[in-house]
Amino acid sequence: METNSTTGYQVSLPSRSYSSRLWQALRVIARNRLALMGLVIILTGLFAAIFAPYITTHDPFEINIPDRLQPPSRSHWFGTDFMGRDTYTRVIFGARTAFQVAIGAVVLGAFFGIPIGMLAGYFGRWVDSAFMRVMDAILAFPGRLLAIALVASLGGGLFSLYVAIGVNSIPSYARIIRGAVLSQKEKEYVEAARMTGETDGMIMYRHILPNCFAPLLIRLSLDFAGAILTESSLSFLGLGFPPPTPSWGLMLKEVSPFLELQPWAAFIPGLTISLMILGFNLLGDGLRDVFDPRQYER
Amino acid sequence: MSSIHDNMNAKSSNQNALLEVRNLRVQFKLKAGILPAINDISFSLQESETLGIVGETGSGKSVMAFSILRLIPSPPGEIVGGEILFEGEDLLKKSDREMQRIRGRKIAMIFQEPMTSLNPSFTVGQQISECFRIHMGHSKRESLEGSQYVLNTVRVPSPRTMMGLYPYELSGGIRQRVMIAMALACQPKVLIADEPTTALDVTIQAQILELLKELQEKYKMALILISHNLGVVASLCNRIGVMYAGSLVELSGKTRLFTKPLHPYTIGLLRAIPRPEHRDQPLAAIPGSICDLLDPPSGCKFHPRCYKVREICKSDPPRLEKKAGDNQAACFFPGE
Amino acid sequence: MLGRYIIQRLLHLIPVLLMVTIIVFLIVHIIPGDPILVMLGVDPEVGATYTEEQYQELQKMLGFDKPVYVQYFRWLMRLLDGDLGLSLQSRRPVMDILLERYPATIYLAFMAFITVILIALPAGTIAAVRQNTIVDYTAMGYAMWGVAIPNFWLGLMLILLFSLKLGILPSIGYESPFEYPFKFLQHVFLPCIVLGTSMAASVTRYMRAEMLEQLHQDYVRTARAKGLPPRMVIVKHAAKNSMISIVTILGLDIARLLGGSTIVETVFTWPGVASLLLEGIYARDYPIVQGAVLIIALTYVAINLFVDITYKWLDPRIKLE
Repeated sequence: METNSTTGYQVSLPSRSYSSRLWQALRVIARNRLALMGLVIILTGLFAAIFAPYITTHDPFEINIPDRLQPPSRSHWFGTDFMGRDTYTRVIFGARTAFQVAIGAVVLGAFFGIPIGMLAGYFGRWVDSAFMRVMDAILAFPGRLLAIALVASLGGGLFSLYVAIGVNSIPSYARIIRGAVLSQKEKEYVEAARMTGETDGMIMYRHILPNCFAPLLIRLSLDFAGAILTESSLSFLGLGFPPPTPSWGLMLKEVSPFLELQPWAAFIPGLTISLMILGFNLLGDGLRDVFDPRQYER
Repeated sequence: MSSIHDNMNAKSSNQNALLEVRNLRVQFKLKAGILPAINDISFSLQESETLGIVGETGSGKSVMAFSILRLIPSPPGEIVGGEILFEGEDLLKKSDREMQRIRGRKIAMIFQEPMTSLNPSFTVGQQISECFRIHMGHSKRESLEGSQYVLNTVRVPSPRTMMGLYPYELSGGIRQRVMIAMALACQPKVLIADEPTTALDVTIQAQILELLKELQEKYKMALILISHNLGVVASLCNRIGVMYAGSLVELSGKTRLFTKPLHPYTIGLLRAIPRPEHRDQPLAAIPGSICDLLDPPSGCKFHPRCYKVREICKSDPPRLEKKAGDNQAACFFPGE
Repeated sequence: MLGRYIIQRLLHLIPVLLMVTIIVFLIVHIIPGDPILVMLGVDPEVGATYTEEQYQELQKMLGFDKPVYVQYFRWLMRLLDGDLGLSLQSRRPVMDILLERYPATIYLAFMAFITVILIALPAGTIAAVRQNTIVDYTAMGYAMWGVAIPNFWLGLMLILLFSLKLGILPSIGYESPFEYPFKFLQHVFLPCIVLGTSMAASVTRYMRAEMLEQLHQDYVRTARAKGLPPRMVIVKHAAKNSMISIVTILGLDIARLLGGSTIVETVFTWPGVASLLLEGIYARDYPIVQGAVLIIALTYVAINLFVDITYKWLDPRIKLE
C-alpha cells in the first residue's frame, strides 16, 4: 500500500482484480461496527424495495376516502394518509422509488464523471482546463439549487430527476479520478504497459481505475445518501415525482396541510428518509475512516 | 576531595528533602495489556541539587518526569501507587486547582522539541507573559517587562524584538532558550528538563547546557536533567540515576558513577562509550535489547543481558539499596 | 501578498462566472418542447388556449426569434446592465423583485450561521475534551443524525410541536429585523434552527476532530505544565490553532445553508429569494426563475471567495510574506 500524494488515499499496486478489492472492502466494513450497521440498514431498504409487493398489506394506490387520516391500527400499521391510502404500504413502496432514483442518479454521475476525470487527467493541458472549468461551473451552484433549476426546466418524472441529481455529483467523480490519474500517470508500470502495446484505454481501465476503488466506493455511498435526500426534497417541493407516486418526500408534502390531524403520516416517511440516509452515511464514513482517516474536504 | 564531595551530595536522606519520590508506580492500560511504565521508584532531591536521570528509550525516564507534575495523559496512563512529596506535601493527593498553582510556579518543566512545544499562534512575548499574569497576577505591562527581563537572562539577542516574534521564525537554539525563559519566569524551586538538548545541533547543545548550569547556580534551583546521553548529564549533574525498564537501577554521585559504577547495566553503558584509544577494538555493546515491558523477565529485569547473571537474579527482583556509602544500586552483585 | 492573491482569485472567477451565466441562460432553453407554450401554461395535448398575439409577444420579449448565441449575448449584455427582464406574472422588473426579497434570505442565512457557530463550536470542543464519555457519544449521535434528517421533515415536526401543539412560536411570516427586532427573532427562530441543524451537525464533527488533534499536540502539554487552568488551555491555546481549519470548514459548508434555504423558506413562508425561486417555478415565470438562480449562485460564489481570502489572511505564515 502506498499513499497517493494528491488525494491522500491509500493506493494498492495494480495487480489485484476488482473482485478481490470488493472483498477487501467488505472485510473492512465487517470490522467497523458503524459501517456494518449502515450496510444492514441499506440492505433492509433494498430488500423492502425489491420485495415491496410481497411484504405489504395493501395496494399503494388504493384510495379509501372514508378511512382517511386514521392513526395506526391493526389493519393499517402506520395509519392512513389524506386519501385513505395505507401509509405502511406507501412507505415500503417509497423505498422502491427512492432506490430507483438514487441508483439512476448516482450511475449517471459516475458514468459521466469518471471518463471526464480520466480524460482530463490523462491528456492534461487544455483538455484538463476545459473540463475542470465546466466542473467548477457546476460546483459554483450550492447543493440543491442546480437540481431545482434543472428539474424546473425538464419537468418532473424519473428521467429529469436522474439528470438533476446526477449532474451534481459528476464533479466529485471527475476530481477523484483525475487526481488518481495524475499521480499514477508517471509511474513506471504505466510506462511499461505502454511499451508492451497497451492502448490508453486499456491502461486507464486496468491499471489506474482499480487504484481509485476505495475513494470511489466511499463517494458512491455518500452520493446515494445525497440522492435520496435530494429526491425527497424535490418531491416535497412538488418538483419531483407527481402524485400519486409513493415517494417519501411527496407523502410529506401531501400531509402537511393535515399536520395536526395526523402526525403519524408525517412522522414515519421522514423517519425512513433519515434512516436510509443515515445508513449510507455510516457506510461511507466507515469506509472512509479506514481508507483515509484525515478527510477535510467535502 | 571528590569522594567527600560525592558523599555530601549523594545524601539521599529523608530530612529536608525538597522533593521526595517514594515507591512510585505508573501504568498504561493498552489494548495489548497493562504496561508497567514505572515500577516502584524512590529517590529524593534536595534544594539546589542537580540530579541527572539517564536511560535508553523505553526506560520510563520521561514518564517519571511527567508524573511529578501529574501530566500523564490519563485515559491510557495512571499513577497507581506511591507518593510524591514536595515540600512535605504529597502531590498525588492534591486537587487539580492546587496542582495548577504548583506547575510553572514551584516546579517547572522544559521539553525536548521546542518547535512543537511552543504554541505556533502566539508570540514569544505573549507566551511568557502568561506565566506572570496567571501565577503572579501581574498587569499586562508588568508581565511584558518581566518577560523581557527573563529573555535577557537566558541570553536571547535583542529581547525586545524577540518578544513580538512567532515560534516558527526562530531557530532551534533560540526556541529552547525561550522555553527555558518561560519555565524560569516565576523562579521555580525545581526545574525538570526532559531531553532539552536532544533535538538541537551539537554546538547549540553545549550552549544550552552551559546556560542551564549558569541559571541553576544563579537561582539555586534544583534541577532534574533527563537524557539518554551520559555525557550531557555528566556535565551538569552531581548525582546521577540510571533507569532501566521502569526501575532505577543505580543512583550514585557523579564521580563515583564514572569511576566505580555499581550496576552491570551502568558498567555496560560506560564500556560502550566509544573511546579513541580503543579504536582498533570492536565497540562493546550490551548484548540483547530492552525487554518487552508487557511481558518482562522474572526477577531482575536486566538478567537476560547481564554478564554476571546467577540463579538468584532470575527469581528475585533486587531492590535499590545502598551498596557503597550513599550510592545505591539494585543488584545482588554490584561492582565490577 | 494578500492583494496579489485576491486579484488572482478574481481573475480565476471570470470564466467560472461566465459558465454560470451560460447555465442560467440555458435553464430556459432546455425545457422540452416549446418553451413559450410552457410559459403560457399550455399543455399541448389539451389544446390551444392562447392567442397568437400572446405567443408573439412572449417570443419577442424573450428574444426567441433570434438564434441561440445571439440570444445569449443579448441576455448577457442586458444582465450586465442590471436588466433581468420582466416577470411574466406581474410584469415588474425581475431585478426589483429580487432586490426586495434578497434581504430576507440573507438575514435568515446569517442567523442560521450564527446558530451553527453557537451550537457546533462548543459542542465539538466539549465532545473532544470529554472524549468517549456520554457527552461525546451524544454529540456524535447528533452529528450523525443531524446530517441525515431532511430539513423539511424537521421543519414540519418543529412546527407541529411548537406552533400547533404548544403555540409558542409562529410558523409563518416575517418581520424586518430593523423595525421589529423582537418579532424578527420570534419568526426567525424555528427556520433558523431547521436551516442550521444540518450544517451544525457536520461542523460539530469537524470541530471535535480538530480539537482532538490539537489537544494531543506538545504545546498543549507545555501549557498545562505552565500551570494554566484547563479552560484557558482549551479555549485560548487549542482553539486558536483550530480556528484556521474551522473557518475553512465553515466556509465550505455554507453551501448547505444556501441549498437548504429553498425548503426552509417554503415551509415557513419566509419571503426570500429562495422561496421566490419556487414561486417562479410553480408559475412557470422563467425570468424570475433565472433571476433567482442567478442571485443565489452569485451569492455563493461571493461567499466562497470571501472565505478563501479570509483563510489566507488568518494563516500566520502568510501574514508575513
